[in-house]
Amino acid sequence: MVVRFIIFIFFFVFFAVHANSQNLPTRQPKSFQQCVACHGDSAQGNSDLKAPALAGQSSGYLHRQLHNFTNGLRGKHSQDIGGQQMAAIAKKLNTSEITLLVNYIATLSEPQINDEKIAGDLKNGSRYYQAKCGACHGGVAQGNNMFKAPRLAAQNYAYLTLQMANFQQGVRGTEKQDKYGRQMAMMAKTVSAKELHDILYFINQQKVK
Amino acid sequence: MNKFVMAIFLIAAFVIGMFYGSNKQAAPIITSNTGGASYSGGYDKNTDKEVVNKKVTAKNASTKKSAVAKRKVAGTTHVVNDGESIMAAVELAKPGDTIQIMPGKYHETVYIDKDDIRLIGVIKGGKRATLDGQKKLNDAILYSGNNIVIENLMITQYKGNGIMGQAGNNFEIRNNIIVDTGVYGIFPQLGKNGIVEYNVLSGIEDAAIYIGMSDNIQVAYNDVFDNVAGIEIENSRHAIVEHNNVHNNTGGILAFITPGLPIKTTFDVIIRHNFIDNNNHKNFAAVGSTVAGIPAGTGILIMAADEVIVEDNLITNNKTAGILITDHDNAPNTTLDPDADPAPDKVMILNNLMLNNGYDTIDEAKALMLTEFKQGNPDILRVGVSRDSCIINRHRYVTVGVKDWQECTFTNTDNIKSYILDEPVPARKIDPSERGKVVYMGICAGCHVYSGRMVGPPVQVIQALYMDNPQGIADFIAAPTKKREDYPEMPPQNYLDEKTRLAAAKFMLSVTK
Repeated sequence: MVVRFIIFIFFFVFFAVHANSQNLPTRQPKSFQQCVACHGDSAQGNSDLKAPALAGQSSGYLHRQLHNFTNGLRGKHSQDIGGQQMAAIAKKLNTSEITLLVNYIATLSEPQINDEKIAGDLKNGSRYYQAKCGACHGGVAQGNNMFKAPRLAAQNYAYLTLQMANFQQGVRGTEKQDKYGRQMAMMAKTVSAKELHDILYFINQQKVK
Repeated sequence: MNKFVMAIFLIAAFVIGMFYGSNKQAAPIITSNTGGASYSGGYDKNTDKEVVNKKVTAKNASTKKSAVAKRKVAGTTHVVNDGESIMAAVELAKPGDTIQIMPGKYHETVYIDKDDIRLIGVIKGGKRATLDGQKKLNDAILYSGNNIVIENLMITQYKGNGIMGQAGNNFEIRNNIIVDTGVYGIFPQLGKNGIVEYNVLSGIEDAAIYIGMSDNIQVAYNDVFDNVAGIEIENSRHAIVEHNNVHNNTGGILAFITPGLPIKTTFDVIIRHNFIDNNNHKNFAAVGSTVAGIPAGTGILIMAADEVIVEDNLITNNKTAGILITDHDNAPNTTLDPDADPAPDKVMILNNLMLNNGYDTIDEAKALMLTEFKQGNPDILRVGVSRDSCIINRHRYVTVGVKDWQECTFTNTDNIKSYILDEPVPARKIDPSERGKVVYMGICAGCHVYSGRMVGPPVQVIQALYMDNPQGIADFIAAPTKKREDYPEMPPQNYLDEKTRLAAAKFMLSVTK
């Protein structure tokens, strides 16, 4: 009986410790400090700087974009000021630093983006979101790794607006090797200003767990 | 002083007069439908290029019509027994042959790509030949041939279509029971001259009977319940929907233009003599898809379709409205198509019995009622533009948006017995260079529209994903995988050969509207 109890205690402690070790936060890499100035201390993004939220974004997407900045698929165009800034920083990161960063960001919780004072027609936004965006970015803007499509929900309006303009005006998504960027650019060009306004409002209203 | 009193008195008298005047209603125009003129119809075979023999008169034609071509020589009858394959029999069959399927369970997809085949289930002591997809298979029966008859089958547990016609003319689909099976129950796409009658359909998550881009259609005597959309006439012309029992669907009978399909019109649809009751089922379509926008409790929905006649239906207990008429602008989940007129014009509402509709209607309807100072539960609800529409006996119903409609100049559709042709149309001839286009229209467009989310992703999005890679599409559709959690999985199109798939893919990438 006592032996059984001891065994029980042993396993209990073992699993408790084990479970706890999985809950330990991934340590913040030093390089994260470079992100904070624009993307915020918990990677929540900054509307004023049109800096996207990184927390909550899929790791695959963050990885790919960091590499795109590094290898010149993004952030090269003369009008892409924010992209150029980002590229300059990304180029200082090596592959293992990128991995550490992305893994760390994956542990941060998604920001609550509902402080934006934007308005729009939700019904119109919904129909055009479903018609133009949802097939890749998901029905509630949750993103879809199958299509390498980033999450749009909980992303700030200023950044999304800027990127849509970039895609529409040939600032982003023009490089031959940037297949996903080119796909996005092609769709972005089919969206009218009014549609876009309501689509962004629809995205703004989505709450993804 | 006296003048002042006089002025006050005059104003008061005027106001009181206005009040009484507005409350005193003019006697309603009561129109009996036991007499009066009959609608002459919107179809004239003399102007129909596809009708070869225009001489046959309706006088000779029976009201019990057949749509398929008469057989000059009786072909072979192939009997399929329980445990054998229906598809194997189809492969053996020649045009003119009949395939009899004995009672039993059949787990397969049957694809008929030849003309003049009759697929007949044998019902013995109440037992039917049952096609059971076991929630693994996508489609039960697909046909691309002309003059096809499909009768007496039981179809269940498929994920895609029960029976789908792909550009086949002259078809008859009758006496089938189709339950709990996928997206569309009976779905003739791009067909001319066809009959869908005496079928039972239930538990379909989009449309139970979906007439897509077709002409000269008869949908009659079907029992349609527990589906999202009961009977849908979509981008089609010259259709009669009559004597159906349509109950407990989300929306009962629908006449639509779906934007983004290659054929851009719906007109001349007669909806008559149907029971349309209690269509209050919770909408269980994929969120964001076109039919997910149908409010539960819709008896008849007319969206953008023209020349739709609603006559002598019993429309009861539909909680949103008995008849809902909308343009594209006001419909949810619907994008605009620059090539399709978004307005439902020339809607004609004749006698109908309406009872207890609109008792738990949507907020938009309540807001509309306020604009007309209306109270009560709406039987008829019109939102958006509708030109040249008419109605008789409007005083019977609680209506919104029809007060400016004219009185109809006719009271019935008795002159129109059927839109089924006296003689079948010729088989659709497909020039090899048109192969991709016909497959796109007859198959792909069943679920994919250019600029909207019908069932599958929009064509525009597919064009962006596969830009310069038609082979990628051709390969994917042969063995699709699930890529979107909130879309149904695409059924494999591996019954089409590689060349055909590639032609369709190339055409899809070239579509611009």
